[in-house]
Amino acid sequence: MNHEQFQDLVHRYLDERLTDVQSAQMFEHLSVCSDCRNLMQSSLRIRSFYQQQEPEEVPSSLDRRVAASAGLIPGTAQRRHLLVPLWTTRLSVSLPLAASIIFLILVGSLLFSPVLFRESTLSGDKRIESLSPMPPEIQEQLQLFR
Amino acid sequence: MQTDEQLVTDLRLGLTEAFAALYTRYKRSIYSFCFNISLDRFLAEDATHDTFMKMQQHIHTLNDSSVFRSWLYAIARNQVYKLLQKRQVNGKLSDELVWDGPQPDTMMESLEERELIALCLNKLKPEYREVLTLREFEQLSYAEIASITGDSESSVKSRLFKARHALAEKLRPYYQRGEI
Repeated sequence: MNHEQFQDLVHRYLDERLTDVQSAQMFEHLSVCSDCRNLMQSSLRIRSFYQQQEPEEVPSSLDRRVAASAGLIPGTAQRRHLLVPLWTTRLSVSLPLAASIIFLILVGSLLFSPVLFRESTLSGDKRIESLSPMPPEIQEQLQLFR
Repeated sequence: MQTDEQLVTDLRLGLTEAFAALYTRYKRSIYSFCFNISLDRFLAEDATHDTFMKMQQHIHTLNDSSVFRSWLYAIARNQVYKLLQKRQVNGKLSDELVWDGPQPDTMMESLEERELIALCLNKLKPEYREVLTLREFEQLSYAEIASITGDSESSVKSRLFKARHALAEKLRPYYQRGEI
């Protein structure tokens, strides 16, 4: 067995994917090759080393920096980041409030529409004339009533 | 507990609670990963900070949320190497980033095995420490490591073998002398 073949077996052994035949081949090679034996021992020690290792503690300065950069206030994660596109934000507005807002918008648009605004500035005969083009006979009858 | 996929969906909607949850879940792993490559706590802190900012800004570009972890590590990896390269340009780093503390040859014979392995690991190339950390510490699959580093699975296996071999060579004198 050469080193390239052994390399593949090392991976398989460490991944627990060796067949019995491959395992026998590998240990046969290990018994005669000190280089590969050294490699196998080191690999197992590395694995043991990492398995016992704890993740590094994060410095508190990192937490503060990330909170500040992300727009978070420690303890209150309610603020939204300004970089989030508007069309992806979810608004929490109750249905009655939404209906009231729509109603106010509609009423407001009617109050300030150009037609009504124009009518409200007119008075008397001018208002009547401005309302609609009436046939002359109806206009005469209106004059008689006055 | 919410899955990564659920948190990614919420983060896309702009919920900062999702950001906080993902940060809490991954900050130690990402910081450790950055530190294991760079051997510099200040650089690791900067890289981790930049990683989570990138995550927040570019979460909309992540099409498949099931690969979030690999995606996050890939960002971290880019940030670490970018900062290492920047420092190298500024003349603060030699060609190969290695431990500048006590050398193994000068260590006392009573050194604990774990300390010696850590010391020898610190003498490896950053790309070797990177692949060892991802495989042995984070226990990622070869496919995940390949997606992080942008290499093929066979390249990852080859680099992992070289890393193990390089470390074995550094540890060999201590085995032979029977110090550990």
